Amino acid sequence: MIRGFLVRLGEGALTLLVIVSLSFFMQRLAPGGPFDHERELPPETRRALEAEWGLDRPLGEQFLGYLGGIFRLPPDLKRSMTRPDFGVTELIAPRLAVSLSLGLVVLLFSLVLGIGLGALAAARRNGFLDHAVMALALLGLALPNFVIGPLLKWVFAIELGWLPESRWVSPASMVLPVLATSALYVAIIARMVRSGLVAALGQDFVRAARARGFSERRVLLVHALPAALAPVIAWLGPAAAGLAVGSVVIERVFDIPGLGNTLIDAAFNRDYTMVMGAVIVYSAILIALNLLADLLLLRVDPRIGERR
Amino acid sequence: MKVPGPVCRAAVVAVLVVLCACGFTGDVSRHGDRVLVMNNMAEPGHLDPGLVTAAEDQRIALALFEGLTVPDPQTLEPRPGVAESWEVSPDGRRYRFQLRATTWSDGVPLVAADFRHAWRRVLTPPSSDPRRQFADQRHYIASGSAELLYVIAGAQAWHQGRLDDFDQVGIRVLGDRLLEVELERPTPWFLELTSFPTFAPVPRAVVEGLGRDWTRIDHLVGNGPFRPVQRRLGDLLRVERNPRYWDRDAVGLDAIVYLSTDQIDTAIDQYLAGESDWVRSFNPKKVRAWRADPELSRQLNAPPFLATYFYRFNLRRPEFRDPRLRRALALAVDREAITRFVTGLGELPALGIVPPYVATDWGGAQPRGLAYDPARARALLAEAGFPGGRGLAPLTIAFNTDVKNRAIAEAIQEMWQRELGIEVRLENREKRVHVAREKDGDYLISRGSWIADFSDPVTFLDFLRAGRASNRTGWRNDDYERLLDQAADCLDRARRLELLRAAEEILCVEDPPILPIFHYNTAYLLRPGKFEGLHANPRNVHPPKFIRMRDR
Repeated sequence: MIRGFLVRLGEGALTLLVIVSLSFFMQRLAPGGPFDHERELPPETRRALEAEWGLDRPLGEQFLGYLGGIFRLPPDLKRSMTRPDFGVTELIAPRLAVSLSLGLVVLLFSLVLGIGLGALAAARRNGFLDHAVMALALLGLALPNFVIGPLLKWVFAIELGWLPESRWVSPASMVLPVLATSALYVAIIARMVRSGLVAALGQDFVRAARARGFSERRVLLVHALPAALAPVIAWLGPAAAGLAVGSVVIERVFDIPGLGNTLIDAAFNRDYTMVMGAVIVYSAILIALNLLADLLLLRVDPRIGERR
Repeated sequence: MKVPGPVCRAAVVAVLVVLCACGFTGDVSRHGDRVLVMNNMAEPGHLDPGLVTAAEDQRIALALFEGLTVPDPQTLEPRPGVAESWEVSPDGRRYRFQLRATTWSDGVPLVAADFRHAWRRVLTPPSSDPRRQFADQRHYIASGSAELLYVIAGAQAWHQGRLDDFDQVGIRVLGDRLLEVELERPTPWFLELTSFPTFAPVPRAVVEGLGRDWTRIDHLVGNGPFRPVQRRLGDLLRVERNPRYWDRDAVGLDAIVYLSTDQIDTAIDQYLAGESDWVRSFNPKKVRAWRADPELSRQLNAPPFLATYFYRFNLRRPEFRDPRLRRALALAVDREAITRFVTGLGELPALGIVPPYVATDWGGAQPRGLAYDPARARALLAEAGFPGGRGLAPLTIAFNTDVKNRAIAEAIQEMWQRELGIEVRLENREKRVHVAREKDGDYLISRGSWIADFSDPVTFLDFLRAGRASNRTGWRNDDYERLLDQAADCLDRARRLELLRAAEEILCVEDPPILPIFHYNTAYLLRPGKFEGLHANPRNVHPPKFIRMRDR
């Protein structure tokens, strides 16, 4: 198992390196640079800026210099090109905290609600509750968050005035973004849990548990649920990825000072160092989450480890 | 559920930890009695006045720093700032400023040498040239606004490295409170320039002691009516009145909060929800609905702005060598239809590049030569060798991605196809790509805009002179150059404006490298009846020291 973990870790590091290299060169291929404005800079100023940021050196040299900066402890992500008063790390840290807290709350909320609803539907399968939950889930799947977000905002913030409409000033600011983001995840989890449970309930070990006289609730929650959760856990890693990416939209809608918003602006403004910083942080988180999901899966279902 | 148990617990702990660290700090924006909250529409880029170029940074710089003059909030006429008075020599080239006894926000006296140092700093980009290495080299900056200082004698030569001794630049410190500036040529708008952040003084000791960290809000020392007290990245910047400001009793607000929201819809929602008082400079999609609403139409302001929306023709392309084609295209554009049905802010259709309201004595006249006249356009097109558009390859209009730019391009596409039989294609490009392609000459027709630097027609004529980086059309007209040269040295104002009008006639009628479409209006939402000292003016500059709450 340790070996498996180390292999995955190595793979993760390699993936990160590939992502860093690709993003570095891809954004340089895009026409236009951080100092191209409708109003042209005086050539002396442009030269000085390019020298300051090393943009006058060959691309390969710039790349090696950048790599040298990030594979160092602590990593040096340079200053932001459009907000040069601040280091990229300094600009990213508070935004990352915002994005991650939003993502974590969404994940937790979706897990609790999704598993609960899924279990409920499975317990009452083909009953009214089952149909109601699955219909709701279908709605959650069908409605994209850029529709749900503005809709919630309009009803609860602007018309009713119950909740803050945007920005990030108190935990109440979190409610609408969390609801808007969670809809999809609750729906997916509920459907997965329901079908997992329905399948598990027909299995021998569940029949054995029933035969031993355990209550139906205990059979469902203690015996069948762990088996039904395996696919959910396998899905969690990539889902966290989706969450990170998905929250870009929600951050835009609710003007949350998160990482996604920052990445979009940086890309439009050709803030090379900021884009790289955000990409590195995003990828590191995604890779780490996938790694974590693999480990969890290994614990839940040891056969996976043996097969490796 | 044995296994995920500890994991769940860990997750809960992690969530709690992150929640504690995730930066809700409460809404401080309304803290205080006389506070103005405005949507500044972007995270501030630079607080260093020498580096300021963007409008959102200029607004903040005007609160934190003060130059020799301050613009009048209504007329934009220069009023005394750090300079309490000034004298101008009869040839209009020498200005002598008497500075008032005042201090920086840290109590250090502000002296004339602070101006010289600040201007030298802006004019001296860091350089690898050994002749340009100075002891205080690392405090110099690569400023995007350095060209504004070119009006000072020798400043351009120094900035471009053609002068070795800064004492030859026309900035002379004649005493702690006496500053003399010699200009390259008479510059009627010089006292307007001296109110710009680029011309503001900087506290030398602080800048040299802290390096680029000097603009951190806990270090920043300024001389303006306000000083920064709080900055939250991606959220807001709060400034409060500077107790050491010389005219502190005239300052009407306790604090100004600049929200960094850059999403227009979010900004409008914030305004509607009462979280902000003022949504600045935007391109409203909802204007029509607002105009219909009696309550909102009272809050929507759309005064004329000194800026022009136009298309560039790429004269390096063979089809545009002949001015007749360019003129035919201009004649076939119904600008009134565009401002009425597409832009919708009540903009003025542009037949020239200079907005007629640029100065009261400009006369409000526009060149009429290429006003909408489809019949003449068709005749001219035939003369140019393309009767009914035959023989002309499809024309491509390039614009940067934006709903309004697309709508305007579509309208013009339709007009040219209908009136001239010319096939037109549209190409939208991301903002930076658009600029880069335009600079490389990789376009045929390209959307552009020009915002006045100052309130004089010459700011709209100069940027298209031969050899200017912002020309980008490859156009050069010797008569145009000659007229502008004559105007630059002309001391008689009426004669000077006449020369400029003749130049505009060449630029927009005789041999046009551009097709002017409309003069911008700026649009903002302002809570009615709450503030005074805020006036609509064509440069959309609102010096914060004059803003006060209205008594109710």
